[in-house]
Amino acid sequence: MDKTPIHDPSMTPSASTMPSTTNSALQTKTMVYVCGECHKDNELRSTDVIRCTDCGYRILYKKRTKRSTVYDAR
Amino acid sequence: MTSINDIRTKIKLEDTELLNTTSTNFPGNYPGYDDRLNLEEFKKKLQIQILNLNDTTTEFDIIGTDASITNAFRRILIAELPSMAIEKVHITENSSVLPDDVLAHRLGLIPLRADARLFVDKAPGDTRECEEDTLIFKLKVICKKNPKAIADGNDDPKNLYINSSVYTEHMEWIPIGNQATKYKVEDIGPVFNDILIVKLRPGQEIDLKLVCHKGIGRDHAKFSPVCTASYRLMPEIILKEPIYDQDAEELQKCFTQGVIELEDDKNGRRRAVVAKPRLDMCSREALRHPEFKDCIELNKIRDHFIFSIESAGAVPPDQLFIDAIKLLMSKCDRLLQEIDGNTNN
Repeated sequence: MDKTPIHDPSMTPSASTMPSTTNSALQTKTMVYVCGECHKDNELRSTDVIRCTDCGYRILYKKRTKRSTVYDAR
Repeated sequence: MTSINDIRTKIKLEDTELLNTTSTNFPGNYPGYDDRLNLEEFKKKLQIQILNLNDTTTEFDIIGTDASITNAFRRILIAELPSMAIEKVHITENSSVLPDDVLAHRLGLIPLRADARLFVDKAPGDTRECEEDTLIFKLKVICKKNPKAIADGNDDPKNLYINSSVYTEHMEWIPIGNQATKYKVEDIGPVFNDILIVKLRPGQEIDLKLVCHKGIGRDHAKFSPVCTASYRLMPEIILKEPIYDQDAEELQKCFTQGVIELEDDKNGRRRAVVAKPRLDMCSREALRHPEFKDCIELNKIRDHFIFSIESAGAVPPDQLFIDAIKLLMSKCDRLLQEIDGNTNN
């Protein structure tokens, strides 16, 4: 049995269902990162300092892909 | 000296060995016995006695068949009757401590309350989700800190966090096609609502789509509709001479509780009698005692099966056994057709 996750296109969120990552069209695009210390979600722009706004920790992680992966329940 | 009839019908338990364990009642094996297969005789001899039956378990006696037939029922119940189980897990988010594949495997083992007889088999390679062969559940749980947590040093995760444990009750059935009208909400879902799937902590989340298919136990144990289906032979205990008082009490201790009872006889002595041989677990402890070795005989009756079925919950056990009989019949029909086809050629 194929154990590798398969990408299912039907489960991929389309552009319209993606959560809007910009507060306004004028602002540059923000990305959400997770703090490695307190697990808080940080919305950062490309010019921002890489630092958790809550605890000041400097290691931030990217979020998992919103694409769904398919596993065999075996 | 063991009579031929005993060799034919009983397994004898000795202190170090079991005698006459295999069936020997084949046609022509014993002079004076007609062992030809005879349907009328079989019908006359066959008895089924139901001892108890409820929604999940049953115990009944099958008397008058060969072990091969009883074993066929057991194997069909375990490996060939269909049931529904989660087969594919679409994972959109899983930040729990369980890796994706472990979580998917765990979900697959959840028993589902859905009658597999109302569904059709999924064709291999078919990825469409049809209302006839697929059930879909959604499982989306996010764990958060509980703002109303009682701050009195109570560090129970259930107090501190919301959704700290994901149970099967969080699974939400998503009807596809006409399933919403075809099935009632209470007919579809996990058998138990309190099966722990995974534990979460604040910030962790799972977002899954569970796709269930129909399958049989031969493919994967999760599809087996029974927890156990098993049989044992009826024990027979013969007291060759009466055993009284102190000895009787000792004998009672050698067997499972309830097997041997003490009875007051007319001389005012307590005598051991065999009350319920069915309860005996055949430890053969009594044969280790020299005082009992020669005055008791332990047997098992070869054609008396105590059959027990424990359903996983989707279909009641009596219905499962009926389905097993039907499946064996259809297998026999197919075999007969094959034989007929070959003889005609």
